[in-house]
Amino acid sequence: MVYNVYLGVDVGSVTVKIVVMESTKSTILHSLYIRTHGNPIQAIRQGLAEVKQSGDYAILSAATTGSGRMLAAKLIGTELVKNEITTHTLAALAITPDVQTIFEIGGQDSKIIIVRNGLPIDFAMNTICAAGTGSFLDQQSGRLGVKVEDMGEMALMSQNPATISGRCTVFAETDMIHKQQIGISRNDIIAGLCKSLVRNYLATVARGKQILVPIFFQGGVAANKGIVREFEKQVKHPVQVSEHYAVTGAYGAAIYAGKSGPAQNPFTGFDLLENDYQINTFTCKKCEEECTVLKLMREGVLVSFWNDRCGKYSSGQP
Amino acid sequence: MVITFPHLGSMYVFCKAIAETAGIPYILPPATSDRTREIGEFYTNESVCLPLKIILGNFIEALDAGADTIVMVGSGPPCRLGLYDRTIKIILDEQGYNYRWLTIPGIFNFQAFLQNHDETKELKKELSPLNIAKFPGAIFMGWRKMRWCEHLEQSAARKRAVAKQPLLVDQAYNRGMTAIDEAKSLRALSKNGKQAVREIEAIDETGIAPLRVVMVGEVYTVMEPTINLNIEKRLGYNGVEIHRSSYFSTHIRRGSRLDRTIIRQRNELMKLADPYLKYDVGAECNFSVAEAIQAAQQGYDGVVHVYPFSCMPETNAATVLSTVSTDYEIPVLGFALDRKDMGLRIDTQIEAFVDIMKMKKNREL
Amino acid sequence: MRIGIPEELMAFKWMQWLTKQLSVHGEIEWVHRPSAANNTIMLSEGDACQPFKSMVRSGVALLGQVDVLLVPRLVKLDGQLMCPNFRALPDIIRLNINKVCPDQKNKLIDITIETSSDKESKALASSLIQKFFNKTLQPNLVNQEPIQESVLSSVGKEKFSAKTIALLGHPYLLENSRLNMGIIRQLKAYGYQVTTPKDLPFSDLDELAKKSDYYAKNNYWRSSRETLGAFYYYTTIKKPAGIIYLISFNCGVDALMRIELMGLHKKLDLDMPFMVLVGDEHTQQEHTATRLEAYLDIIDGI
Repeated sequence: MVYNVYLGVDVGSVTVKIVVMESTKSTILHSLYIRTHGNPIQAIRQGLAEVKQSGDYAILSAATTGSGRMLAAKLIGTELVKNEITTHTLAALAITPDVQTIFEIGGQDSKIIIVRNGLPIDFAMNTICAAGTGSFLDQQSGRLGVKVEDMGEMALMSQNPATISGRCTVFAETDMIHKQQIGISRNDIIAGLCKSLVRNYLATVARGKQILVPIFFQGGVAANKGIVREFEKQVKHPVQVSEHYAVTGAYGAAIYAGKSGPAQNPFTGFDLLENDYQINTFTCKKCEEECTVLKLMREGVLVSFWNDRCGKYSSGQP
Repeated sequence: MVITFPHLGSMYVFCKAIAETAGIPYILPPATSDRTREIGEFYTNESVCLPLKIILGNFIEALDAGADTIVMVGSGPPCRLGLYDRTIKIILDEQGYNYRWLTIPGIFNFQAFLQNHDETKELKKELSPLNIAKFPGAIFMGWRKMRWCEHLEQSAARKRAVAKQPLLVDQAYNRGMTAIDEAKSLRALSKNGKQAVREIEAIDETGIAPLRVVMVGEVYTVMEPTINLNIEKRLGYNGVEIHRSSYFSTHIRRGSRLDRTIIRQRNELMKLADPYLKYDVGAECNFSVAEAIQAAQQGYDGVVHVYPFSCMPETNAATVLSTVSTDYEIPVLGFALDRKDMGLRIDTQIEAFVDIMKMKKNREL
Repeated sequence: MRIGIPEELMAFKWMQWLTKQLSVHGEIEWVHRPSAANNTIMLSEGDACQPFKSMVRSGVALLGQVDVLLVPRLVKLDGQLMCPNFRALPDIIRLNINKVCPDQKNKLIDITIETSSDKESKALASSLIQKFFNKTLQPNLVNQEPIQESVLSSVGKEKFSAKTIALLGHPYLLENSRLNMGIIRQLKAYGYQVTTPKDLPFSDLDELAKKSDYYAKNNYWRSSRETLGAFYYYTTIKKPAGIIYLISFNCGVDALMRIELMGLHKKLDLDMPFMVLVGDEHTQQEHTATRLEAYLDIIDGI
């Protein structure tokens, strides 16, 4: 049977997530998590190919979110674009309507969102480095010779987390290397990393926010049980992780698409798989802004411009 | 003599007009760019406030382009603003620049008068009697131009939030600023100013009521778009009308101590912040807090707090504002600004902030 | 009566004088360090400098151990302004108390301190004695500090021992080994003596700092004048082997004085090595140790 669905696409700095959400009951029919490896167009393409293969869907409309949401919107041909803070909130509320605190740690961003009576009322994002995010764990896993998916279990085995400090992730790495050199075990170091990441998160992103239960933890890093344990230890409350922890942004985008009514134009995203798409850039020198303007080309033909501050290209009036 | 002054808010319009009307050669520093920031960062360190870095960058770019006399607003304790001139001079001297310095008194007191007398002693010799005679008229022209620019800014802020095509607002605003800047007489100025405002007012609106937000924070950061990364525009494009009390003319009025209304208003604001701050911390700290409370009481939808990273008074204001936000149930979005790379993050946070205000107003997701 | 004052504030000589005056008029147990660290995350601390964050945290942590928490509002000491953070300190502590332990908020007493003269100091001490003990200040009990002799005229008459390093920086950094990254201990371990502006009369340092003042643009912060004056002292009157300037990351006051001193060092074309060390709670031991060792190598001439 053909399902009527809404599509949510979350293009982050390190990964692309896609959620296919059934339109009447809002259940997740299919979800994917793909590493971009520096090529978001290819990752989106790959994701859409998987979606097409995984079932018979009639896509009513689609929405995009994440730091690459504008690019994704141009590629899959939708007008619905929503910032990731709101989409994460929509997803959390759909999963747990009485949630009051959302922790989110992704590839390069971390956020906290405060929800009261079913509405978000406050949030914060990491600004001056110091928080430590998914990318840092990725890098260190490579250096330590472990798989990032195993880091959680290894952290749990430690009884004595090392203290890792550093104003920025580079200095934290320096400290880690030093701890290795003096013979501290890998498990203790990994546990120390988790402790430090959580401590920094609570002291910077979450600082001053009133943390009430239920607490929801989302984003790729929520897979790490060592981090979950540290959160529970440091905030002294249970911290919940849903099975959809990795794709909450995309889920929220799909929910947003659902709320936005019928699409203006039919979904053309699968077109992406048939044709050759390319993004070219040029620097416009017409004023001192010197914007890097992006051009989307399909089969060598111009589709659209964006990223120009004054809009002279994207509004079609060069 | 070729004078220069900081490219800040409407202050540069004021200075430029005075120079032009009095017939004094001047060089306007290039609009603040990445290069300006880099220069500022290069000669200072990581804990120096952004406005100092940008002003330093402006001056160096202007001196490199041939200016020889710097005109700068003076200020006083207890925050670092009062030491800007001292610090900038040390850096310029170290780099071997030759320049003279003229301070526009920020506070009209005897010390400032003495300093002014000393500085102008030499400079006066390079001016012709005609220059000096034109001064009062030039100052008046400068003041009027500055006021027109501020009026235009306010018009644009209002219209941007409700325009069908917000880009048209900025195009009209830029045209208007140029026309005001180029006016050579008070009559032309009035005509150009009115025309500019009319053009903005004429732009089509969506009919959707805007969200109303008050912007508070450190003075230069609030007034200068290149320091606050165009936050007024970004908010405007998201349907938010920005209100603020901090304009260059307000500061001159305040420093002169001649305007009774402003003095009274400031005293009332201090009282408003009293439950949180029982003493004047300095600069705009107490006022940032007070204006946020006032915004909540007056039914605004939210508050935006912008300040330079490492600003001591405003860092304390930020701490207090987090409590004010909960106590008065008003969303407060804070930015400690330092680098330009925050652009995309700012947009994301602004969008989420707008979503929160909308959800609060409509009581639904 | 147990009175708490965060230990960072006790680094100021004036505060030490004040506590002595109070002690001779009544029975007081002073508590400066909380017995347990306060790990509750309180209000956002923003990007304030480490000493400020430390003062706020220990202020709140001390509450449980004392009858009164005395947090003075240090606006002016010795006639010069203090950093604006001190003006906000009691209020920030109060806001945190309201959040963390509101039932204890009446313990907090703040008193605004703007002193430029002995008379003003006595008046402040007097009002506190009245408040705590309902007594008046007894002039004969008032502790007379021995008057420090001016050292301005000792050019060339005295020398430091060969291995002395002068440390510049805020008193609460130099007195506190947690905040100063243990630098004094490390220097002594290398066999060096340490001297700080604490040993010099502020009025002399103030006088020396005037060399860089000009119309309506005196450097108006007490700590800056102390640091600048001490720099002049150590480079023109009594010279150590080297000078180290300790700064907390994000200290606004020192950020500017750092620029000034580095410029001055170049301008005076001095032979004496001068190093700036920036630190905070994230600074690692090796970071400081490496720099210190290299600096001392330069002085020893290796």
